[in-house]
Amino acid sequence: MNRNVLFTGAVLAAGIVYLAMALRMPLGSVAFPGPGFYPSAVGVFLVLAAAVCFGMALVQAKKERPAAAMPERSEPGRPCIAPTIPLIALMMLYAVSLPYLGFIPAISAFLLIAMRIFGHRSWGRGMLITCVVVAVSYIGFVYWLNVPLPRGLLDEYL
Amino acid sequence: MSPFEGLLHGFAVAVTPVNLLVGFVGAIVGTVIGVLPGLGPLGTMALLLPLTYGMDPVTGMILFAGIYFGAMYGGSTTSILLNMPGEAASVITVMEGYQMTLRGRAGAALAVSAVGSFIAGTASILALSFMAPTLADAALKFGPAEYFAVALVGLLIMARLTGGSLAKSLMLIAVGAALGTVGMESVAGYARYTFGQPMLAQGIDFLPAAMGLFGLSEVLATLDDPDQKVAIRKVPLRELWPTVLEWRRSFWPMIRGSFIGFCAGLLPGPSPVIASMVSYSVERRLDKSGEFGKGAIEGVAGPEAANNAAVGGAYVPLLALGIPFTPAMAVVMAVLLINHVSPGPLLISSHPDLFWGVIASMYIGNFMLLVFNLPLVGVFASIIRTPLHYLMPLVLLLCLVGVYSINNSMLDVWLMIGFGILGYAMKRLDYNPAPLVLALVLGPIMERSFRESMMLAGGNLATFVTRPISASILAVGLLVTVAPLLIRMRRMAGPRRNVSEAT
Repeated sequence: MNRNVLFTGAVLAAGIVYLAMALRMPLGSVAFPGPGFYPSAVGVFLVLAAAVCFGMALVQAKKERPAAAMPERSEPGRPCIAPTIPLIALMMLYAVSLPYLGFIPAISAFLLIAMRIFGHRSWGRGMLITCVVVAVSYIGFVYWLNVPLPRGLLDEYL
Repeated sequence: MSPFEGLLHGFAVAVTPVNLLVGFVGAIVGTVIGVLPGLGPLGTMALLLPLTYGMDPVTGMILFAGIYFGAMYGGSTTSILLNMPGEAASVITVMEGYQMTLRGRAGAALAVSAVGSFIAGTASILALSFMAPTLADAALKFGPAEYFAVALVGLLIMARLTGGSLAKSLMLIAVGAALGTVGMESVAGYARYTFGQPMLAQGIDFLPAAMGLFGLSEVLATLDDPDQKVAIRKVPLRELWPTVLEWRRSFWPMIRGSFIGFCAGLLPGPSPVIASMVSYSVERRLDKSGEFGKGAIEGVAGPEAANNAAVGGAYVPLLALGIPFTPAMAVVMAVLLINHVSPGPLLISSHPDLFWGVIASMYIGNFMLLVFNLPLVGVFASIIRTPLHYLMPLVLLLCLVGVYSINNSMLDVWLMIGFGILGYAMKRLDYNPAPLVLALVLGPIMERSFRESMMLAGGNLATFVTRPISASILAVGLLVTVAPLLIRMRRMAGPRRNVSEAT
């Protein structure tokens, strides 16, 4: 299915849910708007705007369908999203592991694997760069900026 | 305090060793960021926001002003030398700048770009010095109705000027406004859209959203083409000087660009980008040389002056009204709020050190950029040779750690990742994230102003049109929204009318 149709459809669905939840909040009156007044107005606007965009996307998808059916009219050079999936997964893994492992182990692993994803091949050089960068970052954020970075469960037990 | 006295006071504040050093660092960092495609001044400013926590607010503002101006200078370097805009506002410079490089006039293009940026930056700062206090005095008459009107019209103008489909921009504005309602509602303390999660009670901070949509999404996009290599053309120092004819041809485009850029900066939206596009169109129309498309120096001088002048113009609504009209100004506002300084009409009178100190530092920063950018152009351009497999993970580290340091909250990390994925998807589908971010910032202002207006007016909606200032602002918004539609309908009706008259 056309990606724009999916995207606008998802926004429309989210908008409908948003509006439904807003209407269940106390609306108050025009003179004393309640917590649900403004979200309800925004929700109506969101649903309308998303519906228009969804309709436009459907019309556009219908026009493109005959062209897409002809295999020789493919899009050469269109970027593929596959390379981004490992990086997204890595970032999520970092966020999950950070409170448990602490800053230094989590970010070190992240950097090492991220460099591989971006095409760096040497493990030795990668580890050296990781050590330097993590050390500088730790000193910069913790001692210079006084940011209390997560220490992790291991550090608390040790 | 007159503007002249204010400027003198500002120089006394800005010319300290710390402020000069910070201004210099900001200018260099901004230039580097401008050279590197990807992060952009907004992502960088959001990333460096934690640095300002321990700083004096004047010093923090000086840092960010340096970054913003520096990015405009840096973006033109890669546009001219490499056919690769380092920053969105420098996209237009590629058209004529790179053609000049192919003709062997890269040095002239770089010099005219730097001098034009300096002249325009200085002119816009001068205009800011006079306009902001005047507008701040006028804004003392603003009530909640006027602030609601300004925020609403600001978003409508943003939707119009962002480019692309109006419906898409309006949808993104609605999404941003909806996201701005998440959290504890301020009057009744009602938890909205928190789904029982205490972390969501504080709401969605716009900084993780900005870093994700503008910073992280760019990093993800580089994976689409990680093997891109660039060949850097060397420009010897002796070739940096344009000819007398080239200077003469550049002069009026620089002046026009300065005016266009400052006016564009006053408007909501991606003002440096709009300014450079409008300036290019104007110079193209006025061109008599026939060189446009083949390396016309007017096509470099005008747009580069315009995008720098827009930076100064963008500060006016923030410093005078306390309303940011661009995501970058929203980050600057965050610097003020972190230091318990409320931007608005009283800022200039209650914090003259801050206002005039920042203005004076902009003059100094602009001068530093002119002096350092030309001799170091080769150094800055060669930064782009840094392999992506070192650069991008480093940028990601700064994003992930920087966003955590804002509120020491894992929620912000997750939000940034989520917005990064959303921003990447939007990039692939040709959606501009700026309306979403601006609506996230202006939405709460709109809600608060609307509620206060209604409480004061006893629920009478006509208050927005009976108050003269509010009515004027809304009329401008209506004009901007409806006029292009009417013009398009007239154009479409025109050929049909001609056909029916002919038959």
